[in-house]
Amino acid sequence: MQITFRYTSQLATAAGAAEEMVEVENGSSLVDLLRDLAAKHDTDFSKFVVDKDGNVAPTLVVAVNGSQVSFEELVSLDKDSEVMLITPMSGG
Amino acid sequence: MSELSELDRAIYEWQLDVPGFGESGQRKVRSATALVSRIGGLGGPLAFQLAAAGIGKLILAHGGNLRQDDLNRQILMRWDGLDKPRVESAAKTLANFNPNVEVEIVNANVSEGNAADLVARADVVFDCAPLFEERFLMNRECIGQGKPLIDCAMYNLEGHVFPIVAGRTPCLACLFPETPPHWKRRFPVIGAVSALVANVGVMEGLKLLAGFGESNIGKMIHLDSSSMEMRKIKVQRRPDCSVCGPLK
Ligand SMILES: [Zn+2]
Repeated sequence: MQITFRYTSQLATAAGAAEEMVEVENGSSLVDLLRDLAAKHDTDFSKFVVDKDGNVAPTLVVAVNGSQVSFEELVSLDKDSEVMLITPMSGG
Repeated sequence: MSELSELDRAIYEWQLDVPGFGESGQRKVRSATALVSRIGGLGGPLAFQLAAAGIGKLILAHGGNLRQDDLNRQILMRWDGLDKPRVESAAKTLANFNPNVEVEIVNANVSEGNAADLVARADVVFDCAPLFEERFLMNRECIGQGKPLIDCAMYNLEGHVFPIVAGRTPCLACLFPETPPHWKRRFPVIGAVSALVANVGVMEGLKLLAGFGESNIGKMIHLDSSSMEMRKIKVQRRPDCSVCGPLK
């Protein structure tokens, strides 16, 4: 099924868009989903999602339908779900 | 808590009529001290708006001199303040705006040497600093001292505000457990975006101080001025958080 992924800050800049439709298989874990997503993009994007060892980047915040989820969680998504990938920002 | 003076009533008349805020809210705000870490694009309009709201005292911490490339967003500054300490420009602007708000300036950024003292003297802290080292330090002090922290941030046409209360919400280290490796000190932003984020931060701070409206503690308020959409994300507490994990 197609799920809306929403990107923020530096990740949105790297993606060139604030959102993207991503094909997601039923029952896939969040970690697999993020690894697949990283593999589909270049390193300008993927460096915010996974670190050089292939683990999910510790400073990536993932929210599903408005609630942060932990990477270990089994998240059930349906076609109306919105997955938001949040990367840090600061002041200045 | 002190009573409102006749002058206070005259200045704040329009907001004394705000339902839920009123005289008791104004007295709480008027009795409060706010620490603002950095008074640039975020902290400048934020401090300005706190002064307009009648905060009792502002402590403004920001080291360094004003540069031309600050002027697209740092609206507390003054042209005649170029190459002089930013906090001096800010103090002059605020004194001209309303001399009845006490302003203490600190010509230094928040550091290990001053963070504990600055936070101890504040009732609420607004973090608008560019460096994550400063932001994590402010977070640690606020959690340790039980002071509410309004974390404000921006990038490009976006921003977020994350109100943190020790023991009741996750903290900044729950959200970002380490310094983001790819964050750059210099980033794109328009002044109106930083002011938008600042004003959301001020409202969350005022609601906490005065106890009105619906507080968003523990939620990241994300603003996208490109689409003008706002989302709220419920942040999770990390049980193993190095800062707030030990709190029950
Ligand atoms: Zn924490």
